[in-house]
Amino acid sequence: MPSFNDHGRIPARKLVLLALMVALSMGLHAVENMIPFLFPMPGIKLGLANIITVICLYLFQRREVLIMVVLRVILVGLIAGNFLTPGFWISGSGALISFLSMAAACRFPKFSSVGVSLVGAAAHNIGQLMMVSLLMGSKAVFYYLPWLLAWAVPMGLLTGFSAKAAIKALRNTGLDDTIEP
Amino acid sequence: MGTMVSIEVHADPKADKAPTQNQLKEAVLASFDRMERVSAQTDRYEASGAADVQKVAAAAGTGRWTTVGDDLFYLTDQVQKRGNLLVDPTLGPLIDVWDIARETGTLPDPAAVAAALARTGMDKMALNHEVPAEAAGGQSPNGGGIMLTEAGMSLDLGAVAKGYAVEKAWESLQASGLPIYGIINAGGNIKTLGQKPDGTMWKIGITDPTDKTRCMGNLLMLQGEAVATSGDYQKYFESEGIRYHHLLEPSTGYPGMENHAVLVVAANGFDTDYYSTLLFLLPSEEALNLAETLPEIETIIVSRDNKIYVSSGLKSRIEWTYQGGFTLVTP
Amino acid sequence: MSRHDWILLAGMMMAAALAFTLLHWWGTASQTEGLVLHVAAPAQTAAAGTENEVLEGLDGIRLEETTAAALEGMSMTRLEAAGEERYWQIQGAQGTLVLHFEPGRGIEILKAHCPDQVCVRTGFIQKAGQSIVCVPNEVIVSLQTPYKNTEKEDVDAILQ
Repeated sequence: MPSFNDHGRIPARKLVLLALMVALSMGLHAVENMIPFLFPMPGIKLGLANIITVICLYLFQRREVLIMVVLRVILVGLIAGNFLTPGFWISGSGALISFLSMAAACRFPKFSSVGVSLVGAAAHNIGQLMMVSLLMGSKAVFYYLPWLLAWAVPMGLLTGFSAKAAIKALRNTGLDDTIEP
Repeated sequence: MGTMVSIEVHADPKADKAPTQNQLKEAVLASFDRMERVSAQTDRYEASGAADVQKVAAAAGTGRWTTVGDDLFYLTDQVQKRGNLLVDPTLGPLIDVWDIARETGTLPDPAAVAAALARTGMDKMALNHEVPAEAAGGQSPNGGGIMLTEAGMSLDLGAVAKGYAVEKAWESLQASGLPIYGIINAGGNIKTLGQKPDGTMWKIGITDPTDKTRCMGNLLMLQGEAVATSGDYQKYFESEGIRYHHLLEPSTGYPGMENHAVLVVAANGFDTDYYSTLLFLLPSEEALNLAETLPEIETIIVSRDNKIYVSSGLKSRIEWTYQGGFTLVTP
Repeated sequence: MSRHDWILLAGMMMAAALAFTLLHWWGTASQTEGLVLHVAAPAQTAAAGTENEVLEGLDGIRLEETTAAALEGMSMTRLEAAGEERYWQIQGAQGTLVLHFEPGRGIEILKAHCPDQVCVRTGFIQKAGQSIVCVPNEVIVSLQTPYKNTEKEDVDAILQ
């Protein structure tokens, strides 16, 4: 349990940073909701909150990132008022599947944060689509798959480069030293 | 007859003495020949000009009798005897006008329709049951004389000829005496022969009148039963979103606009064809009521507003597979 | 970006291009010809009292109050043949939705009581496989090639 101290607690400084990241991802989520739709398709969003997930994957342990993602999904659901509605499950499954694939992609050092983001963006869209299909008992939505895959490319690049810049900046501040175990 | 006709015949496996392939073939060919004979007398579109109807038309207004074959005479006689003016064998001039309209895709001039309409009417058709003397050497002993009293008149038996032809083909197969079962399918007219070896009823797919590629259900048919459909989807053209089909209303000269399709089941092929045309031209509910009073026929009526009416005797004999935008009306 | 990122990027773009090609090839095989409407909606719930909101701007339009089940399987060929615009009002999880058919253009969700209006902005669909999804209302409208009448092989003849 390298990330926890002897008492099984997350160090205060790290806890604060994690909380900050959750807050940031929620903030980005809110910003994203304020931007009018770009494509009238289910699941097509900028996925700005993914930036935070990518950053965290490089700074924290995977299980901590998972906790952060789950927290974000639940809190956003509560705030948006769609907790436990179809919309909640759809965005939740997107976020979770995206996290799982990015966590897997992270293990290959050959991918940079941009590559990881691309994987995450595609997985995010596919995950949402699968949930929509499951919830509504209809395969019809897979018609959108090509658009979602295509949209994942610029989306992944955007989050990837943002995350890359953020990680670099964070490393420059030396902040990350304090959070590595 | 302007349609593909198929005659499908199988040897009954339960028969003591199975017919040979040759016997089957001959029975089917004889049956086709019988249909051909009906066609040769009634088909206005016969290129050779040999059809009896064409001779009748040529003599129209001359005051002379034209001797016609048994089939044409029987058909005109039957239609005239039944007397309902909605089924009129003298609509030839009117049908010509609409044939041209369909080919060119443009609505006919109302004046042309009115002019054609003036040259129609069963009251201007006379039938003579005595075969006129000059036709004594004629080929059909049961024929008779027909006279159309005004020039420019012509017969069109399109409303009944096919159902009658199917009936005659069926009689021909029956007359062969072979242990066979099968089905005669002339598109909109079908008649079943014998029983299927597995003992199940004959199953006939009913075409969706609004989408010819699909069936909206199956009709279960008894052995030796005939069925016919008159539908606005069989022959038509469209102008300004309105479908102008081939089933003309004899009083107005325009296509009947009450229904999409009318299916009639009866023992006799002629009856199915006759009544499907007649009922098609009546308002749906009136058509259903009329059918209920006639014990020899059963019907399915698809109205213009997509309601389906089924006569009481058929209700248990339809397997609906698809009803789309139709509403089944159960009175 | 590392070399492997580039490979990944190229792979994704190729996958998307392939998917588009397949979709195009499949979707344009038939326009509305022979297609049927597929409408999935939650089980009938009580009207959410939002009708006025939804129905704004629909004056003079003949709305047909109906259910998803009644619209299911509606033939596009038939609708096109009838040649007139149709408006159907159905009940979603959050309120009413208005479906609009226009000859030559297809089906759209004209109005819907939902926050994001993604379904309304999707616009018209007219090809096989296309769909409109309203997540908040739990409604999917799509066009499908009809399940070929499986009974067809069973029948002895087809009455045309």
